Amino acid sequence: MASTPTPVAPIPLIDWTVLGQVLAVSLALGIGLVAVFSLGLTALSFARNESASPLSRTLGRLGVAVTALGVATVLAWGFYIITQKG
Amino acid sequence: MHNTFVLILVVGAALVFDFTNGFHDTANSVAPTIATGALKPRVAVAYSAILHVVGAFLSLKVAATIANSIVQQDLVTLPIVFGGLAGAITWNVLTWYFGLPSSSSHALIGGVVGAMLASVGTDGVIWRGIMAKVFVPGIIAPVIAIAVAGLATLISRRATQHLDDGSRTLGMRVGQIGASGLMSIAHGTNDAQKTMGIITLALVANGTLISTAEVPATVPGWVVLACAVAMASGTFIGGWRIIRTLGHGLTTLDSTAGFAAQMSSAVVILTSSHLGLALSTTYVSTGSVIGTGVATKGRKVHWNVAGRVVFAWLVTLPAAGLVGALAYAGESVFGASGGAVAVGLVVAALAATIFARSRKGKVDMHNVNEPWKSEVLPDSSPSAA
Repeated sequence: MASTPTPVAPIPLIDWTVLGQVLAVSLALGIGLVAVFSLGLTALSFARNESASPLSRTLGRLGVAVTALGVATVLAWGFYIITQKG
Repeated sequence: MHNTFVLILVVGAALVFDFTNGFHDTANSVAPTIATGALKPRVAVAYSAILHVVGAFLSLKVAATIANSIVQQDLVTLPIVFGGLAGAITWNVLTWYFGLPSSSSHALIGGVVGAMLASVGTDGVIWRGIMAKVFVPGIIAPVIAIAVAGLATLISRRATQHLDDGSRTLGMRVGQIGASGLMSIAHGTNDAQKTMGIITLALVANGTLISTAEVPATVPGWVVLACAVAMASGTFIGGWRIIRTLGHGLTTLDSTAGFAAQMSSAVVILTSSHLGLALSTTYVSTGSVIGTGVATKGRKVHWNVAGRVVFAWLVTLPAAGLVGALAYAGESVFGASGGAVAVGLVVAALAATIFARSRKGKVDMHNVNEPWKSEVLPDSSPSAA
């Protein structure tokens, strides 16, 4: 066991830049993802509605595809972060 | 210093801590999923446990330091590590009994700080590091989570207001299951690695593993497997009391709020981790659930329960630190080996007593979703008032 402590580099109490980035990215991604998913559910209901117009149903399918792509991208991003960090 | 007996005790204590970490933090991943009925309780914890194993194997970039930037790393010894683990295990079991979601990582930091104070005094502790890595993130985490989850809930309700209840509930439940999976994998990677780091450091400190600046020690395969199994077992057991508090005690969750809370938690945790500002999973998950309650018209947040949770957060560090210091003092009195055995027996007896008491007022998968009155114990529990 060593007997004397070694000097340590000063630790910043708050890194405002990182904090701002965390807040901005979390707000954008968190809200964005939930919003896209919610809109995707609405699009799905249009796509499955037999009485809706062909245009509505096509737009609904497009919405579902965009949502699926968005969710898949975020999941891939999540896995990337999990595997990259220590 | 070679002391294989103490090393074995430290490895055992680390795995017990990993197990308590699993059942204590299960709620962070699955509480809203269970509360809204997206998955049945046993299925939810089994799903989470499997993904914790996957997470533990996903990345092996071990943070091979205990309480890095919190204590002087070169002064950390096996008895200090053991004292820290004793403090963390005790605090985890105690807060589980009261159904309080508190940070297992902060409990471990508190235990190590307490043992370090008892060992070398205040010179061994980096107080600014405690402020920067424990107190400041402890304030920031729930605030960010409340903001993100609250806004996400508002927007989600607005976006799905024209959907029929059945379609909305089904869709949101699917989203909840996905978000819960992401949280489980992230938690498995993060927290299992902490225990891997502790065991690896203990092996290096004992001379069992060689580590140099040029060739740092790699984590042995059995350590990865043991940590993954210990955490997954704890997760599968299910910390039902904390699951009940997080799922029902803070506010009432429907599937829209549950999805918003879980997805917000996953995004905040992964983003903060990626940007180098590690936030407590527990604080973020709790903040997200409160955020959905704040943002939902006509739905109240049980602020008395939230107050108890915040109180637990405030005393985690000193309480775990006190146990850590007492544990180290015990080791000093009886010697490293005898002291570790004595401390281990005391902690085991305490945990057994608490567990026995918990059986009198049981919360399990069968009653976890009963309506919340004022306490964690549901009406069906034998000792509930």
